Amino acid sequence: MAEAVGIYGTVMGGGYGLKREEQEWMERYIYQVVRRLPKGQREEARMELQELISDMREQAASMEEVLGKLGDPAVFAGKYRDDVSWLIGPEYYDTWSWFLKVVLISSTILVFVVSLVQGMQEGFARAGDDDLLEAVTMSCSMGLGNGIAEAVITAIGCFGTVTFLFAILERQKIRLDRKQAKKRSKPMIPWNGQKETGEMGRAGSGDGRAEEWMPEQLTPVPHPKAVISKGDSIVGIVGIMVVGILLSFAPGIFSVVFSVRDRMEVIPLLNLEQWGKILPVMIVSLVLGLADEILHLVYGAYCRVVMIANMVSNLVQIILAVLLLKVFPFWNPNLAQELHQRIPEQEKIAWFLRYWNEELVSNGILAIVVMITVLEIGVTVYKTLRYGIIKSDVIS
Amino acid sequence: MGEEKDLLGSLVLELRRGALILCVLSQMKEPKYGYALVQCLEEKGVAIDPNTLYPLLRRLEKQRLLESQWETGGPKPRKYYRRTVYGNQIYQELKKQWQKLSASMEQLWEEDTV
Repeated sequence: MAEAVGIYGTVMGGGYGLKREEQEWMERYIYQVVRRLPKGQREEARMELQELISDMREQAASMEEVLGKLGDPAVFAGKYRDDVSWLIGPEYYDTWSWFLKVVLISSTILVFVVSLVQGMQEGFARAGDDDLLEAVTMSCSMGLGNGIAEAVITAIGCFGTVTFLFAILERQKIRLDRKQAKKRSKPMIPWNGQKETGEMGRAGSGDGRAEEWMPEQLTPVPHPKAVISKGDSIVGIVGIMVVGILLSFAPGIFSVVFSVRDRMEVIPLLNLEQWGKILPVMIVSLVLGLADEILHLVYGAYCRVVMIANMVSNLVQIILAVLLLKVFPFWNPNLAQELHQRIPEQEKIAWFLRYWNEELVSNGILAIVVMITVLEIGVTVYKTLRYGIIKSDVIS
Repeated sequence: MGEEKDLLGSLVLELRRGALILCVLSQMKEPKYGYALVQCLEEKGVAIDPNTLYPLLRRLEKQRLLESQWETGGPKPRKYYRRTVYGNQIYQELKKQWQKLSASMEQLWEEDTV
């Protein structure tokens, strides 16, 4: 390491044989370079630059020429700094870009829907019960305004947070692979002719660890029909999250609405008194669905893991649906009573109650749930067995 | 036209980046201070900006290929750099790689002109 000696003070007194004015220009330039460097490098860089500039001055016509040749001090300082000068480097760019898209799409849509509903509810409340048209207009405008504003804020926040986290990963050199392939680490051999180490100047400069990639990690190319669309998975994830949030925070929106003399009467269809018992079961079901969708996104193609997870998740979801609709007190038990009390126009209630039959609705919903779920299992099993990757990953 | 010039400029820069390390290492058997190295390389037809050379010298020192020492005996303090033992080994290795690459390139060009 260099043996820096404390000669700085005496040198600046004119030790380099420069005119006072030139000394001043040199000092200014050096200051602009070293102030951009880490503290530990400053003194050494200052001495180096004094030596360089005074040497160059001897060969040049003026100090202006010397400093002009050295160029922008900010650029010079940039070359001195040996830390990374990018936020997200090429190694992390793909993962960052993919992750950012998923987070941005899911969170902004989610926040938009939730804020829209909240804004609409607030709009209804503010408009009062007198004018139905005003209530609808107020509710829509407040809902949309709220939804868009919150979605924009969320998008900016998500962008910042994801980028910030990846910037940390970049600096800590933490690997984040979508597919958790088998990874091994071994010390990197600096300057090994057989190894490409990226930018030449940085070879072997830092942490000295590189992950060894093995050809066995290569998974077979999936059949085009076995590929799971990323878009579908994201739509699925967003849908599940929206339903989850609505059920958790605004179960009241699943209501029957009557207009009674320019007034809105809202009577919940669900059993909100027992909601504390019902909600956890629904959340478990949604989380299972969410895990299934995330697995689709991670694997990107039908394979044994995706098939088994899909079967388990869907079967449990059917059981939970039966439990909710057949065992739990899912529907508002006081619906008829509340209708009779709050709606004076009996013919409307009679019309509604003719079609509303808890047993029938439960069975209908259950039938749809079972049908969709069985269909999904069927498609997954068919695609996995027909086109999916079910053999061993190793090429025989 | 401007774009073409920019592209050529950046490609030349990329090409020179690795070669400059070899150029610098080749001159550092005996101790030299930064500006003397700039002049020495310039005389041999290798132009290098001081604002590229100084950070490069530092990096090579950090990689233990060069070592430095301040000489305060002369009219002004100077920082002298020279190759380390490890630097010598790496330099010889790099030289071999360069010769191999250069021979391959010659062959490629010969085939290209036929």
